[in-house]
Amino acid sequence: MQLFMPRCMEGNEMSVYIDDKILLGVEKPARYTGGEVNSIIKDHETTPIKFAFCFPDVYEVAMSHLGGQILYSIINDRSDALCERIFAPWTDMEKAMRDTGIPLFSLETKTSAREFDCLGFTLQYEMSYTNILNMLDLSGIKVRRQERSQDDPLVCAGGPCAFNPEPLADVVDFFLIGEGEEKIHSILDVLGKKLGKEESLRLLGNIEGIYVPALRDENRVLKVKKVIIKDLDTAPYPEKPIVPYINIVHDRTMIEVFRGCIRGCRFCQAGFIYRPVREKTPDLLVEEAGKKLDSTGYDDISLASLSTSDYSKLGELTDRLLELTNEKNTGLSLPSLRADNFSMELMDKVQKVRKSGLTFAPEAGTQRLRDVINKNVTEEEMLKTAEIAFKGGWTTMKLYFMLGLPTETLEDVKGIADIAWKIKQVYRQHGNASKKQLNLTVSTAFFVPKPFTPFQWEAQITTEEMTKRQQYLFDLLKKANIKYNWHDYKLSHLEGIISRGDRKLGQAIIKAWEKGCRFDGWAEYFNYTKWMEAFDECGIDPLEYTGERKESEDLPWDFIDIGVRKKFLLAERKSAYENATSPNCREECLACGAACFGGGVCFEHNQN
Amino acid sequence: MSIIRIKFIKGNEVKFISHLDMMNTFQRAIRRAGLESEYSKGFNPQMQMVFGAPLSLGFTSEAEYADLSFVKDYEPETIMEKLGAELPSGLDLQEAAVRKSNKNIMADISFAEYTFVIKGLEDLNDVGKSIMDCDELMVEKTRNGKTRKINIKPLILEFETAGSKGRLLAVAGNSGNLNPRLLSEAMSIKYDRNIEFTDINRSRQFVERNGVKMNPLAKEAMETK
Repeated sequence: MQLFMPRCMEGNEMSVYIDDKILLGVEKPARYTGGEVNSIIKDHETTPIKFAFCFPDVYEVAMSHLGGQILYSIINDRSDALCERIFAPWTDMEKAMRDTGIPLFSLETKTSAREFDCLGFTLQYEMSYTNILNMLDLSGIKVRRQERSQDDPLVCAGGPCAFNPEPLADVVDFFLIGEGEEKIHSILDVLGKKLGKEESLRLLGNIEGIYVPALRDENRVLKVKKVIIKDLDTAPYPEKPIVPYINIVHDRTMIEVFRGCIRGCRFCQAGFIYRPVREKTPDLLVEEAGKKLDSTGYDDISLASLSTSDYSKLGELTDRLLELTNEKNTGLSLPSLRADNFSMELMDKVQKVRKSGLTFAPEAGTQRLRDVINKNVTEEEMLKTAEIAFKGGWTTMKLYFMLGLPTETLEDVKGIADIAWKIKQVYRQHGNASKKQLNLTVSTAFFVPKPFTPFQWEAQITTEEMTKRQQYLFDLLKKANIKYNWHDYKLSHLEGIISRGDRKLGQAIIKAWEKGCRFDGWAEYFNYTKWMEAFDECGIDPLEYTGERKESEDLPWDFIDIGVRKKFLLAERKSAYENATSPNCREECLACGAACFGGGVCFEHNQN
Repeated sequence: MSIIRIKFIKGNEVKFISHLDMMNTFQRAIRRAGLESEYSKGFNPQMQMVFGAPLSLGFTSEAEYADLSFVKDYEPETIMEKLGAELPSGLDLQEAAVRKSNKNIMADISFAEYTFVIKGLEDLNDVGKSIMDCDELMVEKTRNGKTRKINIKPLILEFETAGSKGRLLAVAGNSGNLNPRLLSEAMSIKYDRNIEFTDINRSRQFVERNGVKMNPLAKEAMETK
């Protein structure tokens, strides 16, 4: 692949000029023009530390990410630092930029990415990795860190996928494992010293939670422990989030009610890496919601968390938020509600505002398999909830399941169709069937074994097996006349390969990008064939990565310490095979290890 | 209750914001300003506001108009001050006045004036006059996937050039509308060369009363049909 060298680098200008003609030729030009309400422009001359928050996906996705807004406001609150946003240009814009020699630039001041001290990427999903490489290349920065010069910015990465950093360890200079707010000031302080790269990385390597691959190459890294915000009430939040001009994925005020999840579903990485659960108090959340509504002008508030129903003071919070939303003529959305403790009362409250669709994620079709994955919800509870919902006038329901979970048989797959069928019957009995048809959709994704879960040793089923089970379910649902959405098995297969990847696999990611792969998470650009060629050319057998791992084996991510002990994950895996469920964090502490952080749910009983 | 007609500038910073997104931007600004807007009744209440003729993506304008409905009787000065403070850079409030007529701005706009830079004219003389003197000016227009030939000449009221600069006064609004880009296409056909308009700016818009072109904020326009 021809490496790309921006024209402006010959001169010394910082701002990139983009002709109107280019913007008129691309889809949604406002993705690239910035200037949104609450965006912050600082003087590059007088601000010593220049950080770029980089999201390896298109604007609408990037701007929906709460973490980015948090970092943006923390950094810009410092007088000695500035933070600007850099997102992946859509393919039409990329082409125009390459054709005319425009380097990747920031939204705020259109500064070339290469002019920043540090480019901080967030790794939200593996399918965005090729976009990182592409963004570096568009900036005129070599993708392999070993080939970069002193003058290039430091490239760092954080976010959930950073918990298995090795696939990108030849690309990224340093990783932040855990929550960015906790250590961002320490990072900026090091950047502010304006030292050489090697010296900066040595200092960064001393900061807790930071992994510097170059130091591991010299055997100077044994263990990296994740960092967390111990008390979420003290964590800074953006009082004035940026308000995009164009519609984005989550076009509303988001308030984060808690971090982590008490449940411990055995397939779910977020359920383990974000432990322990830490809540914000209702007082603070109501204040936050008010400030954000006032500063943005949004007409909708949404609660953000992994499982909203598990917020311990949800009743109080929704009451108080409804007062606020009534006063301000805005709506309230409560996503991520569980089917089991979904109360009539809560549903009634939300109903007053808007009756959007209900979403339930039983994940597995039979009680046996739900016990295996520790999804503690029974069919009875689900049907009861459906009944309440339908009586309350709801007519849209989405059901999410996973195919290919460990120990799954066709019997379990059939269970998915059975549940959907029963829900249809409940609607016939209790819903408003004479007036409006039930809009029921079943969606399935394939199980992807993830690091730091009890299923991290499990095999992913083969692509042949994937198509077989999907087809089986498709036929059953078709017979029952139920709408069915499914994931592309090829994409799940690739996710399965990358998510438990090692450093060697990183070479194949680079190869795939060189072959033209990018926006892999977007069906229209995902090219499975190129990826398989890349693995082949790098001498990588994908089955090695999707197959079962031995419990005795050293896993590529073992040197990362998330607090939760490997011993605990093994015990959970054993329980899975015994169809035995585990209590949630509030019912009983299983001493997973997350108490080492000294906060959150692990210490809740001490406060009461 | 009051309906306030505003005039605002849409500058370079926001010229790539679509009509729909700009309406959204105003709604959010009104909320931030704490102004009590009138909402439509029904299941999904919408803020009551009407904008004038949509501006094409990439155009700037010194003369955009909107009618905003409020539940309170606001003084125009209050709107100028409070809404003005909340609009993002590039959107600048110029004037505000109470509208008493029952004809909204979208239905009322009849003419628009544009200025622009013309590329491709170099050796041609008296282009303005020759356009104004021709009987018809044919161009292909595609709408809803159908292409048809139309004569845009009747839509042109005034057209003049000075060096590379051009000015067009054309019919606008519900009874017909001429996008300056269509004129550049017609001219490209007429002169058999590539003629392009850049830096297109809407400089004025007019309503019509008894055959007279009038500023949409003029007292007469705001009080009579």
